[in-house]
Amino acid sequence: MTQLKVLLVDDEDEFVTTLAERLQIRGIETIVAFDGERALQIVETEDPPVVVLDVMMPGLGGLDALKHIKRDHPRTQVILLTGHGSTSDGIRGMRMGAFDYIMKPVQIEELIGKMNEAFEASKQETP
Amino acid sequence: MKQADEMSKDREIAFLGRMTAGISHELMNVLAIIRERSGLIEDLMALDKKAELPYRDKLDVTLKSIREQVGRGIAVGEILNGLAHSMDESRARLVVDDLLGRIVFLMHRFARLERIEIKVVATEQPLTVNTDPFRILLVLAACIEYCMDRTEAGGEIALQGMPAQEGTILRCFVCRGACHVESAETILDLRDRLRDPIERLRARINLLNADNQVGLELFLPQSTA
Repeated sequence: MTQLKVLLVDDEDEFVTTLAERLQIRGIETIVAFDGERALQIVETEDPPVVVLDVMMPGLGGLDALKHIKRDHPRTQVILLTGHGSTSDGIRGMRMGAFDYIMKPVQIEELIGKMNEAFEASKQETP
Repeated sequence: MKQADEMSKDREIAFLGRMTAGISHELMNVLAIIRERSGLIEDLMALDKKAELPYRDKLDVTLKSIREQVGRGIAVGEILNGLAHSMDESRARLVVDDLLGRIVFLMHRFARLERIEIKVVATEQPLTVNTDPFRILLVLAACIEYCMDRTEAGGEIALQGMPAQEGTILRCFVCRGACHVESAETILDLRDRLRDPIERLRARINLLNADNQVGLELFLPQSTA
C-alpha cells in the first residue's frame, strides 16, 4: 500500500465531513463514518491503514471500537480524538494499542503529521 | 453529621462539574466545526490564488479573524473544561503555576472591569501541590477579590507560589499601585467567609506585608502540599 487512506469516525457529521473534504483537497483518500459500528464494517471491507476515531460517541464508543480494530486488524493504526479534559482516555487508548491521540478541535497540519507517522508505522507491522 | 454534610456537598459539586464538562465538550464541538468550515473556505480560496475573487482581501481578513476567535474560544473552553474537571475529585496533584494561571484567567474579566491587571509570577523551580482542585480555586478567587477591593484602578495584582518549610505558600499581592489594607478585622471577615474551604484544605490564610509585598498569603501544609 503506497497511498495513505484514512477512515475518519466521529458522530459530529458536519465536523467529520468538512475535515474529510479538507484532507481530500490535500490528496488524502478519506472515508467517513458517524458511529463505531459503521466504522468496524468499513475497516472490514476497506482495510484502511489509518483510522482517526473519536473517543466519545453514542453506541459503540471509540475505545471499544479500538479494541475490536486492534484485535481483528493489528496492522491498522488508530489515532484517537479526545476532548481537552479527557487526555486520560487518550493515554488509556494508547495502552490498548492506539498509535496516538490528538485533542479536538484539531489543527489539520498536526493531524496530517500524525496520520503520516501512523501510515509509516502500519507499513512496518508484519501482516 | 459533618462528614455526611461534606459528602453531600462533594456530590453537588461533582454534579456541577459533570454538567459543566458536558457543556464545554459541546462548545468544543461547535468550535471544531467552525474551524473546519472556515479552514475549508481558506483551502478553496488557496486552490487558485490568481483567480479573480471579489473582496478577496476582505475575505482574508474575515477568515483570519474567525481563526483567531476560534483560538480564543478554544482557550476559554479549555479553562471551562479545567474548571469542570477540578470538581471531579477532592484531591489531585497540581502544578502551582498552572493552578495560578487558571485562576488568573478566570478572574481576568472581573479585574479588567475594575481596570486592574492580574499576573502569575512563575516559580523558580517546578512546584506542585496535592490539594482539593476546586476549593483551592475558590479560596484563591476570594484572595484576588480581597486584593482587588483594596487596589486602585490601574494597579496590578500578582500571584506567586513558593516552597516553605513543611508546605507551600501561595501569595496574592499588589505589585503595582497602592494597596489599602486597613486592619486585621478585614481578614477575620475573609476567614469567616472561607471557613469551610479553608478547613477542607487544612490551609491558613494570613495578611502579607513583607518583601515589599502587601496582600494575602495562603499556606498549604505538607499533608496537602
